[in-house]
Amino acid sequence: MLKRLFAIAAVFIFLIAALPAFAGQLFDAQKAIDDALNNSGYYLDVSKNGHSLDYVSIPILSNYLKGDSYYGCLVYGQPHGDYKDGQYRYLGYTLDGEDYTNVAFPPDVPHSGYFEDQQWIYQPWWNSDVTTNYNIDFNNDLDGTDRYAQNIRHGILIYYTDPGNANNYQVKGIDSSTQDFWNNRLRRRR
Amino acid sequence: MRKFIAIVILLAVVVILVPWLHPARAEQVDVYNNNQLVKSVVFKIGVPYYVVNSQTPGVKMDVAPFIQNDRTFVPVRYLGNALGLTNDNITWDNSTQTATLKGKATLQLTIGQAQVVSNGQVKAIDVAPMLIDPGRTMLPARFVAEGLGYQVDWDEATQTVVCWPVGQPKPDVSAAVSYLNGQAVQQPVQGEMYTTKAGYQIPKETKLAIPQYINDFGPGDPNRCELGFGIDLTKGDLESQWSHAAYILSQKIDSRTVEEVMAYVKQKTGFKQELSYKTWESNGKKIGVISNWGSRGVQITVWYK
Repeated sequence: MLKRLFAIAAVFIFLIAALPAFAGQLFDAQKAIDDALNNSGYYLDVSKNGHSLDYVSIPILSNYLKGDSYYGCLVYGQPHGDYKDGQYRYLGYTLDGEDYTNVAFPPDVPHSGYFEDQQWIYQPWWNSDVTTNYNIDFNNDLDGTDRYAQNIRHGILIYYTDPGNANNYQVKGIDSSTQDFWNNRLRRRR
Repeated sequence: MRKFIAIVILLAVVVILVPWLHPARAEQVDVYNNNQLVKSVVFKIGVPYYVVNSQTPGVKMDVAPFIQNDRTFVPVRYLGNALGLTNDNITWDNSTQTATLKGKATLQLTIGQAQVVSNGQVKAIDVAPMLIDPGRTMLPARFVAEGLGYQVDWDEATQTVVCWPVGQPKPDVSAAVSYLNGQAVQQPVQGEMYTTKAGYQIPKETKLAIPQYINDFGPGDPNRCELGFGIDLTKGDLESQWSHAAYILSQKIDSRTVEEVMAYVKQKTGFKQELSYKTWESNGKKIGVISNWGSRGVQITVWYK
């Protein structure tokens, strides 16, 4: 579950990141790849398991269909794994060769509730239970910074308010009761 | 049979009481030499070991000698030990900030005062003893060694200081120098520091990846994290980053663990290498190191229990 949430967040960083104020122009896959390689401070040309960086569309977000193209995300290699309802379980691979979850793949277990109310882990890369079980390390130029915070917020809201999204979570949206969550502020237990 | 048991007990007592038969203490006993002058002592700038009488491996110090104002500074206790003094003869008076070393002469050196008091006689020198983080008294090696009856020689090429008893020919210390040359060099950590909420002193000028929220770490952190930072491979100058990392960890973690952690950290020097997650326990803390394949840094974390 945790991995899936990481993947969702990662997808949306790059779903929106390269778009200036997410204007409605068509996504140029090659431009996205070049931008990722040159400016992201994260991507390399090839993954640990030898796949090159590709742009894979996510053909479920009907609100974001532009012409014949859908917005998508940057992965290494191509979609693979189980195939169900027209979707592969994985969109490709991550930089260090792990399977990259497809957010459009039908959920294995039905779930409900609000996105904001899930059991989120604060700065998981500093959590010893997480680092013990997952390959996760921090990127000081990205994690915990504001660099893509706006993009992540918009990406998540776009996805979960789109009727075509594959998950059943609802979002409350940004209001006074959820502001801390969306500002990624820690609500300390007292 | 009784005779045999008696011999065994006798041997056991001998092993316990005779220090040079006790492997764990062998190097120290040889070093102290009962306040007698030793034949040779060699220090190397940046190397946290010294070598007495060409005996290797050398003796570990917690701070490496460094140069300031053209003088070599060495931590007081290690300097005294290296020059043949037992710990009883090296004392520190916190109220006056004065170190006293009793050997062939009694020397007194005070933090911030450019003088050596030898058997009560004040002699001006060109540098003053200093305190460095984390709370180590550093003395100018030359003036202490000369005051205790040694000649001192500096070799620019190998960055080594050699001490030997006055009046004797300079000993051959090539084996000691060769050994010290084979040790990792620690860059001294000088300059301004800031202290985190968890009590770690961090150099203000460092190429390490220090999170902007580092002050969130410490008591009350939801992840029980008290320190988290990284080596930044994009910034280069890895020697200085490793040195800073070791310096920061050494403030709360024992030196053996810090050495192990740093030996692991240093295995990654390029993006396309990985360090699988590894942990250590020290002083009631857990230290974790990880770097995924493709990551541009190495993450180092300390959790409290």
